[in-house]
Amino acid sequence: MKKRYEHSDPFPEEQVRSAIQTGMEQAEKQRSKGNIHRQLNRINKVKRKVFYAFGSVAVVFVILVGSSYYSPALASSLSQIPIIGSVFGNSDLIGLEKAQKQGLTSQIGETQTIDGISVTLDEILYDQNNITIGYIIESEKQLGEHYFGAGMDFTINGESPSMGSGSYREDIQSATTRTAIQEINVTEEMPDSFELGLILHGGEEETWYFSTPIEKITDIRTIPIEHSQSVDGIDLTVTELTLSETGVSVSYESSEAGTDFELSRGGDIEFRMFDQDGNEITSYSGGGTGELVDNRLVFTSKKQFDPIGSNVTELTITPYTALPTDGGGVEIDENGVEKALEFRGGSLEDVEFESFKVEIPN
Amino acid sequence: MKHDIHTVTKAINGDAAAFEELLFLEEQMMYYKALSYVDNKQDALDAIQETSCKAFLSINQLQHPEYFSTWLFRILIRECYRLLKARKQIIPYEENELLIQLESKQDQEVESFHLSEALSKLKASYQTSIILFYYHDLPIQDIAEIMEKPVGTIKTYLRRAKKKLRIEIERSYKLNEKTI
Repeated sequence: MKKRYEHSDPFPEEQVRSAIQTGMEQAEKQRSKGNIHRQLNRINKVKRKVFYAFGSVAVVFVILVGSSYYSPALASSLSQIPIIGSVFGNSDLIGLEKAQKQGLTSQIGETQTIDGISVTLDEILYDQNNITIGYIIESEKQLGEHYFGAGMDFTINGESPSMGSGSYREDIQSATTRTAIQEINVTEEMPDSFELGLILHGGEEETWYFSTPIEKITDIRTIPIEHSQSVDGIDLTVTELTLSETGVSVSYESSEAGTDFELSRGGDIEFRMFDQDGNEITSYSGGGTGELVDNRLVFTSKKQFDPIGSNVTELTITPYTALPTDGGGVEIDENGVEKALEFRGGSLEDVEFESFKVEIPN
Repeated sequence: MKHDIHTVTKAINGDAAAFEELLFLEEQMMYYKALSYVDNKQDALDAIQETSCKAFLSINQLQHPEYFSTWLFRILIRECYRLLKARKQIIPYEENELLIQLESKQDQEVESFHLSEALSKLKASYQTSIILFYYHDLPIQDIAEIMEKPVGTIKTYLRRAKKKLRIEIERSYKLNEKTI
């Protein structure tokens, strides 16, 4: 069968030999590279992490440029980002709007695009209560309501936190654009400045990863209170009030006898806050933890409020219980077996706490 | 064995000059073999270059020096197949040659015109296995290595390809009878 070739053109000896020699040279090069690789293997391992990080940024950039070039839909939606402006500025949260106007937030503006979905990390605010993250999500196609689940997971200096709590909300701007505000409650684990890693998972198992240094705003005033009262078996101690441009927070600790969290009231304490002129300062719920210590249920928590103006000289704070009227829950054991928990808090009675006043030094 | 066992042993031990000498001895065979697969000079030269590179990198793994040629040509055919696969081309063949091979194993006489048409209707993997087996006379084991599929799969390809070919050829005959 090879006859037809033998009889046609003469055998190109020189070219074949040159191909053989080039192939051998190629092999020599690969072999020497392999040796260097082995020698540098240890160094490479150390450096690899850094390279991955740079690599992913570069790749994402290319993808963004590439996809906005090819897809007119994405290109036009990307061009609309400035219309949205600041996620915080457009939110109805006074603290965030104020923080944004006063330049207390860090403007990030980094965009990463995966499969036609671009996530822009817009800005971050790190105050005494929360790390608040605003982001813009743009997609070529319409996405399902819960496409991003409960928002981003986070890391502190590359380490996963031992615990985390917070909230996530999305505002739909158009069929393919939504903004999201995520709050991560500040815990003792968080240094005043650190590298915050954010990981967002999409419904199709896409993963967006951002990493950015953040710093707690410096203008935070702490007013020690140490107000204690005991009512109806609950010991309540309000430890401090913190004030910043972005909000006010009240820290407290409560303790009561008992072993059943479901039947306790310490975790349900909220505060009403009025200034000297009778204006109410809006409250936002904050996170807290409860633990069982020597047959006592101890809660420590921080409640959040809107920021107050410089004209405020005195605050009247009234603790009250906001008992759940319905509820229940699900217990999941180590084998993943779910068991419905009945709501048993219906028999609890509200506790009447006394108001107390806090002077705001100017 | 056509090569001096000393030279092969030297090449296995990393002697570049010995390796080059062996390849120069095989140069014509390599060239025409590659040409029979890829059908053009430039691709044949590319396949030879790749083969020289891969063979030189892995010759230290050759355990039986007496099989140097067989080993080298396996690499070459695999490289040719890779080239074709990357370009989504099918291995070229001469119809008459393939016909003779097929006919010796089939009862029906088939015209070249019907064969090429029927063959073109097969899936690429069926076409490749038929051409490698009947036209290039490769053992099933080698075809399996080249196509990176288990031997059983290649046997299935061949069986199904033959069945499909028969059906296509029969249909082609009927069609032509009608038009005539």
